[in-house]
Amino acid sequence: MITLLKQEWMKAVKQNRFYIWAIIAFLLPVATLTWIVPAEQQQLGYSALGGAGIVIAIAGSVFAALTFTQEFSFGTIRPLLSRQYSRLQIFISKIIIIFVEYVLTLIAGILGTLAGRGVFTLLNGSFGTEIDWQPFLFAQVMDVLMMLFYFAIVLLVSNMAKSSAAAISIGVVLSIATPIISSITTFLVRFWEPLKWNPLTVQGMLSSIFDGRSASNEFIQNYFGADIWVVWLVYTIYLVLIYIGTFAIFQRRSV
Amino acid sequence: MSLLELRHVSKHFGSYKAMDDVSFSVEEGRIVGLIGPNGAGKSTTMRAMTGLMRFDSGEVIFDNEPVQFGKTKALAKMGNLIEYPSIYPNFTAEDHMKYYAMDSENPEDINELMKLTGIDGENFGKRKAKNFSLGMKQRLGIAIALIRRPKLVILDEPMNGLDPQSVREIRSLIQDLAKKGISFVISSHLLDELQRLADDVVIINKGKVVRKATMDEFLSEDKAQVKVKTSDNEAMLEAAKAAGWTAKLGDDSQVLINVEEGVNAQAVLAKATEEKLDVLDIQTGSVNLEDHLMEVLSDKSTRA
Repeated sequence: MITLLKQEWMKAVKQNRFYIWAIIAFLLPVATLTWIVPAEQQQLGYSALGGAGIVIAIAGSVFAALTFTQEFSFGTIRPLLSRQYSRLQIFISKIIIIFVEYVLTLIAGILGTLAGRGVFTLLNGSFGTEIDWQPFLFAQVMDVLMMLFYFAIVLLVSNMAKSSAAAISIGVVLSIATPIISSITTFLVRFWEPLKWNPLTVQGMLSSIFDGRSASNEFIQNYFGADIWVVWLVYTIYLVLIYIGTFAIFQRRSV
Repeated sequence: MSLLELRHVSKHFGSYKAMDDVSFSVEEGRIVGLIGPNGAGKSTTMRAMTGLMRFDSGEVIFDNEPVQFGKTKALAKMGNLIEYPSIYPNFTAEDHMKYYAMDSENPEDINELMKLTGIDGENFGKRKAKNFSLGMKQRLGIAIALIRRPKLVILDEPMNGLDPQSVREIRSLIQDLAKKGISFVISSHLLDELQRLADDVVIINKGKVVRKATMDEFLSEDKAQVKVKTSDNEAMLEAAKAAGWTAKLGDDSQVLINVEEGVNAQAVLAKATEEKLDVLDIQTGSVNLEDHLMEVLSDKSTRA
């Protein structure tokens, strides 16, 4: 397993150069928080990592989309699978490295946000708006938890279609257009209430919890008519099912 | 006990039989040529050997362990290059070697292997693989197949895209490694090359093994043919068959008659005269692998 992780890491660095995304995620908030975001709106800017949040979400989708599809397009899927390792080991190693790439890019974004604030302070002689750490950190944790869903969908599509373009598109749409998807699914729920438990709505509602405060929890509990932990449990079950489905497709594929 | 053994392996894609009861074995240190026309089932057979594909029935045993889809523990001792060299475009040749060497506790010396396969040097080893020519990719693919010190190497069309000098070098490398006890299964359309390289031959057609023999046995099966062109080739063919000879119509308006006991150019000439046919041309030629392969593939009977 360690060997597989080392190999996936080598591909992440040398083949896919994920660090370019991390560099962008660092530099973007430095630029926006220093020169673009007005001082009075900096709190919002911090939560969105100075605009890097979207870049990081797209980067995550790209990491997930490429991990399998490029093995097919380069023809490396055969040497990858005709070795002593089981497909489950290969699958898990890929998911771990996608997650590591994503988290490192996110950390670069957070560091960029702090650096942006530092540069702003140097230029303006004041700290500007203080960071409200609790919602700031909560938003990042929520992003990671929601990204697990996008990864699952992107991996599923990339394994089914073997197309990185299709997988990246789905990932980007899901990660930046969640509000649109939520309104469509909310509209459909009017016709049949149990539809509210569809994975997109569950994920969309949970992703609306920005600050972990009770108001958003209560809204979700009212919407689903269930405790918040039930909604989280359903979300987890969906995640597990999608990952199992994705692995089943990968496991059965002759190459 | 053979190093690799395929026992009655069958694989269907719908109603199409890609592998039909395929059985053959590979002994230690032998080079086996897998021959057949396009679509005969060579690559499918190689995929079955490397655990990349489910097969419907039969078994593949490599180094006393089963190889099947999802059961690939034994593959640590197998190297392969199937259909085309698989490369990561942004990796250098050296990166590829380091990457695949991680799979083995005791890999080949990377620098030595790169030198041996001609992918060393500043200009090659440090260049990104996306800039490689087909021949360079092919050399890299062969080096990758060898990095884990395999007992068996499966090479699909390894000479593709190689210049004559490279073909000679790779041939020599394969022969040297075989002398050290490494076995090879090689498919190639370059039949002359296989004739020089392979110890054993397995011919596959329409998913079936139609012949397996040592290369020497195979080539000595039909040593020569009389190729005769007459004023009426159909009549000549009929007369030859009536005499109990093995004959068929060849390309270029000729009748091809196998040389056997009592059958030679003189006898053919006498038969033509007897049938009152004008002989326009008559030649005796030895059969090369290509001719013999064509004959085997057109032969409805199988002698496997």
